[in-house]
Amino acid sequence: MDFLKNKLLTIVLVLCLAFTIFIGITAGNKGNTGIVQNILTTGFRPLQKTLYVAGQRISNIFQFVSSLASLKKENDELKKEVEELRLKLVDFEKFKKENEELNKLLNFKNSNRNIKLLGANVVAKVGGEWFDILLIDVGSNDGVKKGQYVIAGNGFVGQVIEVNPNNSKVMTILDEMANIPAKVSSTEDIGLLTGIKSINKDKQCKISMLPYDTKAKEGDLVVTTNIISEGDSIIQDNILIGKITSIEEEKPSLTKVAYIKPEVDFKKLEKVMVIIK
Amino acid sequence: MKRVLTFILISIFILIMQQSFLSGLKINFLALDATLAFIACSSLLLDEVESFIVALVTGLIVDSFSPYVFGVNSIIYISISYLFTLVQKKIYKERTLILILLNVLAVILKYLIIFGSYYIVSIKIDFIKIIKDVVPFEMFSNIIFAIFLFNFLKKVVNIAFLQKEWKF
Repeated sequence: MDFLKNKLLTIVLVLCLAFTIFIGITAGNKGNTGIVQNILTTGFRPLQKTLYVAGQRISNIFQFVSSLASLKKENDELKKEVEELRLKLVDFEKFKKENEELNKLLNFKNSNRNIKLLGANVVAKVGGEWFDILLIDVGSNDGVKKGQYVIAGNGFVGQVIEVNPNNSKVMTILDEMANIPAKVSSTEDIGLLTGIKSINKDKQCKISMLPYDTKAKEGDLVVTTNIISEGDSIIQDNILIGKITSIEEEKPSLTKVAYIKPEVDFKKLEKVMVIIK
Repeated sequence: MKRVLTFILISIFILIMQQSFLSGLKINFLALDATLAFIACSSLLLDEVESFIVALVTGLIVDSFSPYVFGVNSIIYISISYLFTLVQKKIYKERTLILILLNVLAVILKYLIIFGSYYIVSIKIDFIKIIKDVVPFEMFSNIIFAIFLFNFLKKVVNIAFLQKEWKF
């Protein structure tokens, strides 16, 4: 202990230097696998899962209480919304077509019977405020591989970036580093899907590098595309990502960027499915 | 050694709480880095070596969970721990204002180290947006959490079996 005390500054400086070199070495990897990491995640998993579910429940109670306070306001807003919806019935045909499109996308499992899905529970959100990474309770022992896509009932969640024997990390589409190819369903324009960093929990994502003359418009659906293949993993196309909320120009690159409201409610995400085959 | 082990166990518990429980709570504008607040508080209560060991082990565990780069959190925690143990001998650490200032300093140091490391390894992050949207909220959340945590850790340190005997 006395030796440590005398040489503490030297040890701190040497360790900082060593870790800086380590950062340089590990910077290129999306995952962060290792024995220590695997032992920690496996060991903490039951406690993490319980606490994660507890957090969800408490959050729901808060939401319920806050919704009571705004009940009257919400009622008035709903009445207004009903009127608007009545007017929108005129566009029935348009909605019918959109509904057919949605059904086609959402029930991709029925149309792609060769796809094998693996159910998983979300046990933690790792990476702090910095990354949007989910820890799920299935790993290589269950057939999960790096690069596989993850869905949640009605839409695309993200991509597996790291696989351990009993758990995996999933980078969600809300992460700034997601970089997943996607396309606008109506125009077939292809772009790059990334998240948008925001402190507000109603996070969005965006599809950038759309052609400048794109015909994509607000309300159009954005889906995944299998334009690239990643290793030996299956890249499934036509998984619904979300709806376009607005489109802007990306001035320096003369392309357009569309902001997307994700189809999946990441606030209430507890169960997901990994496309393993 | 008993104090070090106790603090490491507390840090693991705080880390699990942060990753599983706090991330499950959908409270807007809550950007708490509980482990950073813990390192700042523990550095004010433990001696240099104890604080260094706790910071190093906590940093390594947090890095094990982090994607992309390994080592950033370890650098942050051991730097903060070393600086704060130097400072704690020269200040009246019981004052809440000191605790607030040190937590603000800890968040600033954290982001300086993160921005520096990410810039060096060419990881693209919107630094301005982070400074605008995350840093102020993280400072606020950490200060509130640290005030409670510091009082709790003070009680832990004062438990009879964790008290250090004076060496004359």
